[in-house]
Amino acid sequence: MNITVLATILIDGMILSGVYALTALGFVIIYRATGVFNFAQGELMMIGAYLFFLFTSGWDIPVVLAVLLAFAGLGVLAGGIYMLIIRPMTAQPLFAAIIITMGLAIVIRSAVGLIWGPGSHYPVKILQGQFIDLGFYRLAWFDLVCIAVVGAAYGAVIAFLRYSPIGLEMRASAENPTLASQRGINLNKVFALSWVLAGASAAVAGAVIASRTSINLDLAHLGISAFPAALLGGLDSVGGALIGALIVGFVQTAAAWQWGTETQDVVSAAILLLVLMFRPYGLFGTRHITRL
Amino acid sequence: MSTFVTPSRLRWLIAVAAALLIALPPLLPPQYVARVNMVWVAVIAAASLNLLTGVAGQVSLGHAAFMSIGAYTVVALQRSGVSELLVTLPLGAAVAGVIGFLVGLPSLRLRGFYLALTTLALHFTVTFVALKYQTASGLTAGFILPPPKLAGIPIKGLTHWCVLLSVIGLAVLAVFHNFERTKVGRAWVAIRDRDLAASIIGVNVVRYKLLAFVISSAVAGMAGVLQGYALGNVSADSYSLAVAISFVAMIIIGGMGSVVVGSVLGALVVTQLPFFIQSLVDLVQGSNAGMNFGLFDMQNGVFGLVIVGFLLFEADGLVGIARRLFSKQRGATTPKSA
Repeated sequence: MNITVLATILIDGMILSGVYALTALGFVIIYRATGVFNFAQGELMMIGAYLFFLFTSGWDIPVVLAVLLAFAGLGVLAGGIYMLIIRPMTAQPLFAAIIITMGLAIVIRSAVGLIWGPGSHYPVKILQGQFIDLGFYRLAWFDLVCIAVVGAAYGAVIAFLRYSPIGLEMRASAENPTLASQRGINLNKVFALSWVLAGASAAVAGAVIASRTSINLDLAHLGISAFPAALLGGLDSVGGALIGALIVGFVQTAAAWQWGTETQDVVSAAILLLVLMFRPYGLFGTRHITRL
Repeated sequence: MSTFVTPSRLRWLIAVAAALLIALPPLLPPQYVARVNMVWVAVIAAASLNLLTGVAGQVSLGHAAFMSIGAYTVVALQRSGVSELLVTLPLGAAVAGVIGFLVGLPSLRLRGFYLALTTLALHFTVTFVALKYQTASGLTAGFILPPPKLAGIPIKGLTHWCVLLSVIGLAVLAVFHNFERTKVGRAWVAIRDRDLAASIIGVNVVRYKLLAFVISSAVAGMAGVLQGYALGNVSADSYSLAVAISFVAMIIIGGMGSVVVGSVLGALVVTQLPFFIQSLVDLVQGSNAGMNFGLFDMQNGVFGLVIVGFLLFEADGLVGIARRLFSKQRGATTPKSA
C-alpha cells in the first residue's frame, strides 16, 4: 500500500466518518433525551440531501445558504415529527416508540420517492477541479470544505449543548428528567428540541453526502452504519459519537479498499456485534445494561 | 385472548378454514392460489415472531434472516441431490434453530432495542454470506429450486403447495396455540412481563428464553424452506430488512401476543395491502396493470402509515379492536389490556 492510497483512504474515511458522526449525533441526542432509538435517522439525513438538492439545483440558492436552509428546514420538520407521532407515544412501551420510528422511516422513504422519483439526482458540483498538489496526492479543496463543514456543525451542536442555557436544560433533563422537571424545566420542550437538533445535524450530513455523490433513496441506508458508530461511542455520549464514527468510517473505507464496497454492511454488522458482546454501553457511555 | 378465542370457537374456525382451504384451490384462478400461498408463508413467519415477541417478550429484526437460513440450507441440500421434503424441511428448520440459539445467547443479558440491534447485526451478516454464496456459485439472480418430493411423491404446482402449506400452517398455529396454555407458555409470559419476578418464582429464565428463540427461529426457517420451494426460487434479495420489518408490522397490526388470530390477521393485511392499493390506484388512474409511476412508493407509504397509525391509536392491533367490539356486543365494559 503506497502513500497515495493511504492519503485517499484518509480523506475518504474522514468524510464518511463525518457523515456518520453527524447522523450518529442525532441518535445520541434523541436517545439521551427520550430513550427512543430513532431508526429513521438515516431517512432524516436523506431528506437533508434532497432538500439541499432542491435548494441548489432547483431554486438556485447559493450553496452556503442552502446548507443553512436545509439545517433549519429539517430541524423544523424533525420537531414536527416529534410533536405529531413521538410525543403521543410517551405512555406506551419503549419498544412501540422504537417501532414507530421504523414505520416513520418507511413513510419518509416513500414520500421522498413520490416527490422526487425513484432515480438518481446529481446536484451541482462545487469547487470542481481545484486542488492542492502535494506531489503524491491531489488534495481537493472541496474535500477540505466538506471536512470543515462537518467539523463546524458538530462543534456547533456540542457548543450549543454545553454553553447555551437551553443546552444546559437539555443536559440536565438527560441526566435526571424528574429532578429537571421539578426545577421548572419544560421536558416537552427539551424533548422536541432534541429532535430539532437531531434533524438539523442530519441535514448537514445529508448536504455533504449529496454534494459528493448522487442522491437517491439508497442514501438512507447509510443510517445503518451510523448505528454501530453511536453504539461504539456510547449511546449517551455526545462526544463518543464522533470517535465511534471515525472508527466505523475508517474500518469501512479500509475494508472497501481491500475487499470491495459490498463489505460495508457486514463491517458495520461485525462492529455492532463486537460492541454488543463486549461493551454494550460503548467506549464512553454510562454502564446501565442490566444483567440477569 | 381467552374471551375472544375460546377453544371451541377456535376449533370451529380451524375446521371451517381447513375445509375452505382444501376445497378452494382447484376452483380459484392460479394467481389467487399463489396469493393464498404467500399469505400462508407470511402467517407461519408472523406466528413465529409473535410467539417470540408477543408471548416471550423478545424483540427480533432477524426473522427474514432466519427464513433465508432455512431456504439456503435447502439450496445446499438440493445441490447435493437431496430433495425429499421430509429431510429438507426438518434440516432447514434445525439449522435456523441452531442459529436462533446462538442469537438467543445475547438475549440473556441484552434487552429491548439492544437485542433488536443484535438481531439486526445477524440480519446483515446472514444477508452478506448469502449474497457471497450466491455470487460465488455464479448465480446473481438466485438459485432455482425444483419441486421437492414428499415421501417420494413430487409436490408440484400451486394447488399442491396450497394444500401442503395450509396443513403445515394450521399445524403450526395449533401447536403455538397450545403452547400458550402450557407450562412453557406461562413461563414465557412471566418472563415477558417481568423477568426478575419470573426467576424468583422459579422460572428458569435462561432455558425458556433460549427455547423461545430456538422454536421461533426454527419455525421461521421452516417458513423460508416452504417459501423457497413454493416460489421455486431462492435469492438473497427476497430476504431484505424490509421483509424483517414487515413481520414486525404484521404482529403489530394483527395483535401482539395473539399468536393465532393476530398473526393471521396481520399477515393477511400486510400481504394484501399492496394489491388493495394497486386496485385503488388502477380505479383512480384507469387500469394499466401496475405500470403506474410511483405505485411502489404509494404501497409502501400506506404500509408505513398503517404501522404508525396502529401504534398511535390501537396498540393491541386488529385483535384489540375485535375484542372491544365483541365485549360491547355482550354489554360488558371495555377491557383495557395491560
